[in-house]
Amino acid sequence: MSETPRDTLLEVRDLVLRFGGVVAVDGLNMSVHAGEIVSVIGPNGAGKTSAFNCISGFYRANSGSIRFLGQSILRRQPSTITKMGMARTFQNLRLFKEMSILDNVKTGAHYRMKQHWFDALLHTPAYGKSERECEDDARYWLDFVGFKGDTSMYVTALPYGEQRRVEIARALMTKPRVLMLDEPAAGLNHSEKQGLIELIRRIQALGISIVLIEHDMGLVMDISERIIVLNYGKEIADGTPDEIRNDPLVVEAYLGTDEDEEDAE
Amino acid sequence: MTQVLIDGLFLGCVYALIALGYSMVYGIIKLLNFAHGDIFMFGAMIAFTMLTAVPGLQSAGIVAVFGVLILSMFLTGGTGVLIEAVAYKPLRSAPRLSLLITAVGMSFVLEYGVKQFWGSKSITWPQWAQMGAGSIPIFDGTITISRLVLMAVSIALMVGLGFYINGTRQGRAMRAIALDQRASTLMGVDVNRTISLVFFIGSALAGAAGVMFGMYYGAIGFMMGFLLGLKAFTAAVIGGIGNMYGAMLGGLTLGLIERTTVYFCNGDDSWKDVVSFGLLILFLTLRPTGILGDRVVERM
Repeated sequence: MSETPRDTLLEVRDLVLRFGGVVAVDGLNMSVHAGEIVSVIGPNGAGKTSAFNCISGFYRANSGSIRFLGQSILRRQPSTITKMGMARTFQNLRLFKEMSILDNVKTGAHYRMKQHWFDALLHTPAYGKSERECEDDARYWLDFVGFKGDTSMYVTALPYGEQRRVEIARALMTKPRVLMLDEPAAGLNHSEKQGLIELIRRIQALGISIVLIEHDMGLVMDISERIIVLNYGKEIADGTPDEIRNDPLVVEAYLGTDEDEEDAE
Repeated sequence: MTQVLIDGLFLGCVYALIALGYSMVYGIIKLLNFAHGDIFMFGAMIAFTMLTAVPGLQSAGIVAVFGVLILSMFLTGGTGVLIEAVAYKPLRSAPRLSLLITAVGMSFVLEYGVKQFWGSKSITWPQWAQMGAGSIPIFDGTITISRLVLMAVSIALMVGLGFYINGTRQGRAMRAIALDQRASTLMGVDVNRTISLVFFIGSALAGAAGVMFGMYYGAIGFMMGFLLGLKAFTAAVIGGIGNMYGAMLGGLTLGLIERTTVYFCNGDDSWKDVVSFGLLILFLTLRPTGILGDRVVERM
């Protein structure tokens, strides 16, 4: 939907990532505009997660450019990219297992909390205030994602679907402009998926752009405004759900040849 | 027997302070920092120099000693950060073994570096800074006021640390990195800075232990960090390495066990190291996770 004149927040150009001889991302171009929901789909091994890892700063791309809010983030530390306003969740949950639910979410405020060690050790009012604000914030986002329950438990005590919600709350705690969700629906049952769709819409309503990697086509077609299809590390299509559904290249990538198995979890 | 308990707890506090640094560093970067015991020794050495080099310090008495303690903590903390920056940071993604060997090398650098400056002879702590005066009877034992003060200081440091790790922004970041370094960077945590901070805190605690050791035993030497470092490592393993409360518990346990051994050997202390390191082997083979190991506890 490039006709809407919305600001481009994230722009990836000619991105290449190689692992030895394997080209995981091969000249990828994609962009994310303010406030939109974009899905990135493609067969397994198409380079979706690799691209996410480049954007969030975990992998150093071999060439190409990634610009976020007008600045190049190609060589930035992941923590710096987070501070700039990019958050993500992981395909396999990466919550801090031996920390409480509340503490997990509170870590998300790390970079924006001002706390002097001196204040902390002496329990000054400034320290109390910063911890209280952080806790209020954490509870706000836990509430926002629909978590109800005891926040002092270890996260691992929660059922899988709830852990997913906590991970999203933790990501939101970093106050992102762009939220990247890596297969958020994996392992969720039908009603949890409905809850996720509703949650993603509410996050969008806050003005946060959402980039989604997802295999669940029903969910993707339902909420995406735009879909980018990757295959062999390149984008092969970029358009509205309707356009993608009827794109011959996409159909071929998913169904065409014998070696590409359709993966619908 | 009460005396054994008192002595054991005191020794245990010294072990615990050193073990904490061992354990914190292991928790966050999975490195057994064999130079840690030498930081303890270095702390004692610089404190000694400050106490003797500054004229008129004596008249300030206990205040001066505390000032020196605090200053030594900052200096050893800084040394720890420096060591991490030059010796460990460049090896962040290297195999664990390289890091371990570097730590052993760093240990020698500190030991023989100190030997060059302070000499190889045993150094006598200034009499006035030993704080030996006055004692309080407890049941059938006694505790000197100096010991009581030192124990109070170490307990205060441990409680402060426990609070810092559990209740502050940086503490959460440390726990987060110990659990999942990648995910913590995504929370905006600067991993390098946080690791430096852990080295600072751990080394400062070791420095404090060094000063206390000097104050109490009255004699220090350039090799004393070697044995004490290994003991602290043993304490950390007994309690559950990587676990802060484990280090405290392990330190106190080891201190008590050592003094009890000496008691049952009628004051002969030649068996205590045999028992301590025997215990280390037992724990490593039978319960490598330590006392608090498989209880779900906060790592750090």
